[in-house]
Amino acid sequence: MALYQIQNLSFAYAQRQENVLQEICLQIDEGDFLLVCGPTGSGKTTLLRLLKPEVQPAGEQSGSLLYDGNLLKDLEGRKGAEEIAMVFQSPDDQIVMDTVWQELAFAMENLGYSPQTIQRRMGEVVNYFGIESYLHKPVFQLSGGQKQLLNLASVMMLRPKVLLLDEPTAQLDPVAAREFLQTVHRVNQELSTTVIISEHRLEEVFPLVNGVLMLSHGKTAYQGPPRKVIRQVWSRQKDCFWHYLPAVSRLCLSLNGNDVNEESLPLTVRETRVWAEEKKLKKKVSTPVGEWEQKKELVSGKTGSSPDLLACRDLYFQYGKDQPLVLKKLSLRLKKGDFFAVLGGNGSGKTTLLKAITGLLKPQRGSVLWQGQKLKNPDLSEISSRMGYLAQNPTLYFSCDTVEGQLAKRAEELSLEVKGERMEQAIDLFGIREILSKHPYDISGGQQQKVALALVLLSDPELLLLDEPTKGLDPLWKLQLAEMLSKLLEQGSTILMVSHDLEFTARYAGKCALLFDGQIVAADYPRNFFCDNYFYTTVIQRALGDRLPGVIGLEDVNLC
Amino acid sequence: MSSGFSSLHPALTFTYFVVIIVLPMLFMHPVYLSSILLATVILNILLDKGEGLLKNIKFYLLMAGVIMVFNPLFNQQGSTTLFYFRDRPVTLEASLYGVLFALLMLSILLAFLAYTRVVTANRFLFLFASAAPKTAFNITVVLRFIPLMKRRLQEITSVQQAIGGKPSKSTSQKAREGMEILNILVTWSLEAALQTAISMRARGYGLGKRSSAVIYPFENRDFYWLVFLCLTGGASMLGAFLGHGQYQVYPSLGSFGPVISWHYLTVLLFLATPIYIEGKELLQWHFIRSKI
Repeated sequence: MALYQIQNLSFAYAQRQENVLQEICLQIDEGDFLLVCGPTGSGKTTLLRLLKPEVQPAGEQSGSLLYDGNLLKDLEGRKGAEEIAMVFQSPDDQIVMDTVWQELAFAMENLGYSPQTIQRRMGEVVNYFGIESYLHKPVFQLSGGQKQLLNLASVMMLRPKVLLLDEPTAQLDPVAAREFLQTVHRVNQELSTTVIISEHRLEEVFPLVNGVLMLSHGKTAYQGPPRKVIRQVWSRQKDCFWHYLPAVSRLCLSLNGNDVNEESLPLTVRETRVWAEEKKLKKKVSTPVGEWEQKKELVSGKTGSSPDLLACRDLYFQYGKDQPLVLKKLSLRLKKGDFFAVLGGNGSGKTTLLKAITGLLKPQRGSVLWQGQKLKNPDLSEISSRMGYLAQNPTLYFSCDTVEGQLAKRAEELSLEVKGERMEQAIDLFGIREILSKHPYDISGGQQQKVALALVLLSDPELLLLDEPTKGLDPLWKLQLAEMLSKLLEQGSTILMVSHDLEFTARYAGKCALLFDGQIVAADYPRNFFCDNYFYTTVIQRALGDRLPGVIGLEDVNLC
Repeated sequence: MSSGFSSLHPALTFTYFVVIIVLPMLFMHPVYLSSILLATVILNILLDKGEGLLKNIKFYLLMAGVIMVFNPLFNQQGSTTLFYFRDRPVTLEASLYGVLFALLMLSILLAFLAYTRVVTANRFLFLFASAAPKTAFNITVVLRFIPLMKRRLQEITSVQQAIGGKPSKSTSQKAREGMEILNILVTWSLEAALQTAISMRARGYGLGKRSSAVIYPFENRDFYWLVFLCLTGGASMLGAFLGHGQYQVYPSLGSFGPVISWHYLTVLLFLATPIYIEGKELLQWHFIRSKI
């Protein structure tokens, strides 16, 4: 039986004219796994929140919204809380209690269950989600992935029928995100819990779901089973949703889309390899030889004509006397005009490295050289005029009521002589003119990041340090970010980025390196780097690396 | 950690600490006070190998020293004058009273230190959650908020440092910067609190009466220890009202009298309870290990 029946659902926020959602028709059956995707601001979160009475936003609703055969708004409060569970985007903000244990009990305590029942269910849930090892830990000691898993486990304590997930992996690194999504998949498969998820990380989600809803400006753009939707999107190639599809599907469609029928359309690496085998896909691509040949000497090399802009020499860092070494004899060299990406897993010391370079952390041993000069006992304000550091969380930069005020204040602080001019430049470069009068907290994550980047760049730093700039961004924003970065590079900036995002790095970075065990273990040009890797590489390379050597992204295939 | 004394039912440990914090105030007797102080020191050492004690020892000694020095200087009661300080008599009685008072303060502070180790926020809440569930819940949330704010503040400060500004800063500039950091912290925290509130509602907060998942079962041994603590603790306090454990300081020092009485032994038994329980466990582990 249909769990949700949605007919012509429209919604407008209170005191706003325009509809956020328009004429949505949807039927969700028990055990379905539905993906809702679309650009930021297309109404995904609104739709998800309308499906749970307690968190419905205030506003004007029209059309019918049935749950379990009855109107959703008639649903009894207790039943609503128990049967419909929701996990939100930020792993931190949705946690209420102090320890993992208390957090798990929270929902059941609210509904007045007896301690015995709570303990028993907790026993089950803890086993199912594998959180025994940190059951008694305080929440702040957990990693982002563990926190989000805890949030999932915590709502599963009530044995819900429906699980609503609002961009649950946006703040997680790829490994944790994959683990989280696999757990959700398991819940869906083993318990037949209905799952409705909104996501940007579509590569991993597409193979798991049995339905896709693509929203554009609050309207249904595409709807149906995943493969059907992909075909539809392909038939209208110029559509922005093209970028939302899994890379392997896009690859296969752009190579010979007309021959691919719906059933054989690959969604995963394995399916792609089968498809390539059938199609006898030949080695067609020749890689840019020059790049392919010149190797090494990026980190430790003595050669190289131009002097280094920045060099780290044998950095050692640990957070405390008894703590493990986060950086171990780390060396890194950066030339002017480089776009250097440092990749690495969670906790590998990427952020620590950036902080050591900016002088926020003082390494125990080793030195950071700026154009060959030692930055000894560095004066922070002097460094900050040369380097701009963009932290992961852009909201940390905002203290004013409007974006414009924020920019003006920053310009004031820097006592820029050509204040107005610089501001105008930044506004144009980042295309943030429309949002100047808005509050920095009211704009989307991608816009917040643009503004933060603009703030950092007002001081005109020679080196830009980016900490996970693509985290939580949808595919279109990533394209915009890449565009901005390439503009900056043209203007002569140098960029050092730490990231988890393999696809982004492979496509845009000039050089990349792997940070592992406190050291840079591989530094190379992206093509060499990703072709040499086996696990830690792009989807396309994993799918077709042996057939098409040198191919690491879609663009390489389009060349031929 | 919930082993040894901490593993007893919170009602017991809570009672024990209430009594041991009250006791020093009832006795003004050097032997009694020294015994209580010794007991709290040993308990602290057994609980965390004296970590908490070492961390705060400077403060404790300073405070004790101040009391011991200032009481005889400002208090001129007593008949035996030792010497004159700025034309004021410094008496033997007032000096001894200062020592006794320092002992009293130290015992209470150390007992409180041990209390925070044994009766954690969780256990305290459990005791009072049934009487005032909402208040207990609010306390937990607020307690979590303080370290959370601290961590956020750190993050904001480091980012603001990195973004920098003018090299030489005046005091007013620094003050303005501080205000700004506070501003960011408040905005961020409000934003986060909104999300927390939504997540609470989504999980049925406010739908009905809350229950508590925490159970500390009342075991048989809890019952025996409760009887023991009530008897010895009650007798200790009762004895104080009957005139035991008092030592005359003013106007002149009284005679010591026989110290070993049934009352003193009862107090010792009461004081030794947690030390016995902790010590036994320690020996057990030691014994098991040496067997292996």
